[in-house]
Amino acid sequence: MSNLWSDPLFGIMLTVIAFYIGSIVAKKVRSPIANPLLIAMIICILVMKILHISYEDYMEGAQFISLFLVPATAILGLSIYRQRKVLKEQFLPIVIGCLTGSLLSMASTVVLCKMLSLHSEMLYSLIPKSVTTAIALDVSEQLGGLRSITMMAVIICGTGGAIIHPMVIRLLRLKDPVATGVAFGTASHAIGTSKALEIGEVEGAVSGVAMGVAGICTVIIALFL
Amino acid sequence: MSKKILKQLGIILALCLVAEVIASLLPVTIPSSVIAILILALLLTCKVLKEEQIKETADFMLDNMALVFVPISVGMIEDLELLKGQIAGFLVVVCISLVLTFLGTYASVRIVQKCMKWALKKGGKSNE
Repeated sequence: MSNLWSDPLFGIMLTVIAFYIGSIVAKKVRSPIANPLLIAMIICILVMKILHISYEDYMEGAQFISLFLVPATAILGLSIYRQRKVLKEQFLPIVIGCLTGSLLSMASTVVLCKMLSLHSEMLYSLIPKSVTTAIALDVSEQLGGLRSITMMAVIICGTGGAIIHPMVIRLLRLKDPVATGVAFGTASHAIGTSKALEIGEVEGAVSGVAMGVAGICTVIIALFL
Repeated sequence: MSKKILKQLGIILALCLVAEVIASLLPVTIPSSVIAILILALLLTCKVLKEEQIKETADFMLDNMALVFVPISVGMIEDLELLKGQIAGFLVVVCISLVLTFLGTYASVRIVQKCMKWALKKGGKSNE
């Protein structure tokens, strides 16, 4: 039986079906907490715990879905192209928003870590948490952080952001699509962008641009730390 | 139709490979996904590539983009045990900073938008 769980097809099937269920539930429920990614994650973990499937076995197949990370994000080029008019008009607000957001993300991390007196290794690992994985790992290493902690913080910023931001939007009745997009891309990189796309085309395209710009801002700011 | 999807997927994957090569040649770390986004937007703007040539496959990927993040999110839950004693501090810092960044970014975009509108209005008046 355990051979079946380590079959690559199993991990692929579990991920695809869990995401399918997640998408359907999210469409029906229409609440910010009902997020396809979150529901799919919970279904996968429940199935794995109930059937005693190890993460390694699951990843035999799931790694092939992860491989599509680059093509899936590359497609944002198309949504950027489709929204080129908005992007041209809003160029200045987007760039200044990304810069302010990146500064705020790093500064708030430093202040909070000092307030809670976490040790410096943790601090350096958390500083680049808002940007896309590849950039974050590089900045973390350059500062002297731990890769695994940075990796986790990056994913929590993404997944957590996809859950928390829509609640914040509803609570404070934030309406501007451009500002929402910039905030998603700057605070929660590609995972946030996938959520922004679910909210709207403008939000998604702006978020895609913002995640790139914020990544570059973070690299530059980190040079001065 | 079936051949169409194959062709579209082929174009998208080729583009990603080119981005991988460019990323490995650059002296600074820019993720290949960011480079791929730029190349695609550029090709479309220069009309080298037409939207119709990737449309169906691209729309499918855009609609379901979060799927590719499911495995990594599952892995994160497994890794949480690594943090043991520090988990509370870790989560507090990440979550508070996350919301602050989101709100701060939103506010700064709105402020710049309002300044631009104000400047435009003022500029318009002085021209009259």
